Amino acid sequence: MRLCVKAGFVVSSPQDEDKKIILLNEGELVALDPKANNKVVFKILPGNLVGVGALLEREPVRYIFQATKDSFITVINDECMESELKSLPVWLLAVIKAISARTRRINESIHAAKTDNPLASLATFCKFHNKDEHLQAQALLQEFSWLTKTPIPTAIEALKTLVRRKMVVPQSDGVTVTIPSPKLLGIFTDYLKTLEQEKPWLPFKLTLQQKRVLVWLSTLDPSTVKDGSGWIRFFKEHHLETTVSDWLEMQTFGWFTEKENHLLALDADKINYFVTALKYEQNIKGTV
Amino acid sequence: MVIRENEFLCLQGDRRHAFYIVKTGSFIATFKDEQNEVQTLNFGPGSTFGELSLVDGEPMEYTIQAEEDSEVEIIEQATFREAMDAEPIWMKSILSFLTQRNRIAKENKRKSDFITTFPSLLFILSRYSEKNINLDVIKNELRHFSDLSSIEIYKLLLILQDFKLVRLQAEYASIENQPLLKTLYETLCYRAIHKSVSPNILSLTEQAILTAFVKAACDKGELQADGLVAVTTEALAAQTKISMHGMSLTPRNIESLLQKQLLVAISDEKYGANFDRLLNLLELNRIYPQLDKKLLGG
Repeated sequence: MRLCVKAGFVVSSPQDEDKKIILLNEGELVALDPKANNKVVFKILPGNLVGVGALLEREPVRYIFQATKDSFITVINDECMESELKSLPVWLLAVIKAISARTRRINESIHAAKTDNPLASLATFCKFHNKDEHLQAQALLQEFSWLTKTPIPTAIEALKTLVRRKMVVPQSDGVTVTIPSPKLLGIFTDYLKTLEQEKPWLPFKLTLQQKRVLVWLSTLDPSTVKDGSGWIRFFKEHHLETTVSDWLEMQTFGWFTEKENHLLALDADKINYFVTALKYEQNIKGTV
Repeated sequence: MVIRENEFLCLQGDRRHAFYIVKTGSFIATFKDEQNEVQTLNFGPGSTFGELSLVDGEPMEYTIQAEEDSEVEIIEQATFREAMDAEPIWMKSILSFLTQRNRIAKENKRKSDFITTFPSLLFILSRYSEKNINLDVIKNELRHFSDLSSIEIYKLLLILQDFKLVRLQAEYASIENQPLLKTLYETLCYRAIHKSVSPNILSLTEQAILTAFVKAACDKGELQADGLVAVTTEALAAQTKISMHGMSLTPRNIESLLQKQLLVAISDEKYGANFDRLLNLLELNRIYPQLDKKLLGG
C-alpha cells in the first residue's frame, strides 16, 4: 500500500498492534526512542526500510518512526506480506527462511553456554585450583558459570558428578569443597576428551604385562638411561618378559624420551600420569 | 541434477554463488570450524544450503559430497536475479536487510566470543604453573571454556602483550607478570558477579596518594621486618603535595586506603605497604580503563 504522509505523521510506533514494514520511497523519516524522551536515534533515507524484524521475526518494535518531511511510503503489512510470500517461487521462500533461521541461531548462540561438555569444562576449571584449598561451592559455581555461560543448574549437576567421583570433596561445613588432586581432574578431562572422540584411552588399554612394567618403571630412578635392547634386557633380568609388540607399544605411550646416541630415558611425568590413571580408574570411569 | 555416490557437489570456498535443495538421497558436508577442526553435517531430502552464497556472494561454507546417488536442485545466480526482477522492489530490500542482519549477527557473535573469552584466558594464564606455555596448550585448555578460533586467541594474547603481561615468542607465551594477571582476572570477576566496581579499582585521589607513596618509598623507604615498606608521614605528605598539584594529605583522603588495607598505619609518623602489591594495583588502574577499548577494537 503506497501512502503519502505529511511531516510530523507517526508511521509506526511500539504501541501499534499490527506489525508492518515501512519502505520509504521519497522524503525522510526519523526513529525516536520513547525510552529516551523521544530522542532522535537515526534518520531513514529514501530506499531504506524499517520493521522487517517486527514483521518477519515478531521482534518488538523499539522506536517511533515519524516523517520529518512530506513523504511517500510503502506499507507492507502481514496480509500483504503473506500474499506476496505465497506467490514467491518455493526456492526463494526457502532462501528467506534459511537466512532468517541462520540469523536466529547466531543470535541464540551468543547467549548459549560456550562449551558442549559442562563436566569436562568444570573439571578443567577445578584443576586450576590449589590442592585441598577450601573453596566456597557457591562462588565456585558462579565463577564457572560466568566464564562459560553454563546455566547454574547444569553446573550444579556437573559438580555433583565430580563429587560422586570423589574428585571434589564437600566439607562438613556444608558450604565449602576441596580438590584433593587437581592433577587427577586434568587426567579426567583427557579421558572425557577421548570418549568424545570415540577413541580408546591408552591408560585403560594396557595389557597386564604393560601394567606390571609401568608399576616397576615408576619405582626406578628417573635418571635411568639405556638403549632399546638394554631396556628389554633389563626387563628380562627383572622377570618382566615383554614381547616386541609390547615394547614397541610402550614407546608410543611416551614413557621414554629419546636422548643422544639412541638412548632412552624415563619420562617420569608421563609414567606418573599413567600410574595415577590406573590407581584412580574407578573414579575416572565413575564406578566408585 | 543427479550427483553420483562419492561425487563432490561443491568445495568449501567455491564462488559458484548457488543455492542447493536436496531432492533425494543424502550428502555429507565437511567444513573447518573456528578451531580449524574438521566438522561434518548430513543433508537429507528437503535440506538446503548455499543461501548466503546465492544472495550475498559469500564463498561456499561446506565441501559437499554425495553419500549415495542423489538428486539436487541448483538455483544459480542468474535465476535468482530474474526472480528478483519479477518481484516488487521492496522484496529486494527485504532480502538485503536480512543478509545485512545476518552479517551484523555474525559480527556481534565474533565480538561477544572475543570479549567473553578474555577472562577465561586470564584465568588460565594466572594459574598456570609454568612461565612459558606452548600456544597449543593454551588453545587446548581454552577449548573447555570457549570455541574461539586460534587467530582470535592470538589477538587476545597480543592485547596482554601490549600491557606487558605476557610476551609472545614463536610458539610460546611467556608469562611476565602473573600476580597482575590474577588481579586483573579477580577485578573482572568481581565486576561480573557483584555487578559493581571491584575494590581494586581506585579513585584518582587514591591513585595519586599511592603513586606518591611509591615515589617516597623509592627515595626514603625503609624495609620493615614483616616485608612492608614504610614511609614517614612527612615524606608522604611532601610527595603527595608535588604529585597532587599542591593538595594536602589529609586523614580523610587516606582513610579509604587504610580501610582497603593498601596502606597500614605503622605509627603516628609512618605508613607502610606491600610494595609489590601497590605497584601491581597502580599498573592495574593504568591498564583497566584501556581494556574495554582494546577488546572492542579486537
